[in-house]
Amino acid sequence: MTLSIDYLWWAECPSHEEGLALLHAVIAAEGLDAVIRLVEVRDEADAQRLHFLGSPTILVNGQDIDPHPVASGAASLYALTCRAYRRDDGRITPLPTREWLRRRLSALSTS
Amino acid sequence: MSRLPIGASAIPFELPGVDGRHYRLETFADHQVLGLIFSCNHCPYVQAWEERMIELQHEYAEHGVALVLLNANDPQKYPVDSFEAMQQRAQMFKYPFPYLHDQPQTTARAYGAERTPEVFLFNQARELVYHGAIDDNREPEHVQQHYLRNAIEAVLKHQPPPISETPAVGCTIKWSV
Repeated sequence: MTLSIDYLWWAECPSHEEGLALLHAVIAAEGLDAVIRLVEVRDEADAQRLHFLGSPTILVNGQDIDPHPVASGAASLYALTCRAYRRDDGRITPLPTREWLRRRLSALSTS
Repeated sequence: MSRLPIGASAIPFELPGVDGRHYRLETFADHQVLGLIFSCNHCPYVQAWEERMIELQHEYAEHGVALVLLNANDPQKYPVDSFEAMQQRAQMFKYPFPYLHDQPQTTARAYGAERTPEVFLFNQARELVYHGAIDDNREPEHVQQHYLRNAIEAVLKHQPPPISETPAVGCTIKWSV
């Protein structure tokens, strides 16, 4: 089954290019069949309309890649902000780790 | 808004700290090195570097180095960056440095700060000697260039830092207007 991936990003958060490269690398390494659609979130209206939890946000077949998203701390649930991910060791980081991303893509590709 | 250039003098400020005291530039006059770091609670980049900031302060405190964190984010947009939330975070993580609230955002604007975390390091004459990132990787195990540590070491030896400016990598400061 081809995975439909939406990669939502905001230009003012610096991790989006690295995050996209990481996503491509994991997809290639796992041999997954995926189509990635890039979606730039430009303003607060976009953030609300797209239910944007922060940059980058990865939706797989319409489902957020993180089953337990970390709250951004913004007044609004959806906002122009940098996204936080929780590593396996509990530390907060602006991008998921390669291993975490691999596990989540694998899980979502078989669900 | 223009950023404070290397060699420029530190700009005076007077801001409240989470410990209830008011801090001014002169408060740190007896410190050989002063590092002002624009920071906040919510940003994942700050959280990624937070432990390293704490370690640096612990390591260099006895050498006359003062690191000071300043949060200028609009708490209306980010309630977790409010003064009360700053107090909670400083207590939770046992901050060894003052954590100041730049609610009017005048200090951040005066320094030309744009990101969190963003370092402005001053020598004893309070001339800017280093500006930018703490090091070159948000993941501590992948750091190759310890920009802030190297700059502190150089200033303590009365030498110019090997690198005086790097891009600050982090969240944008959340301006109120």
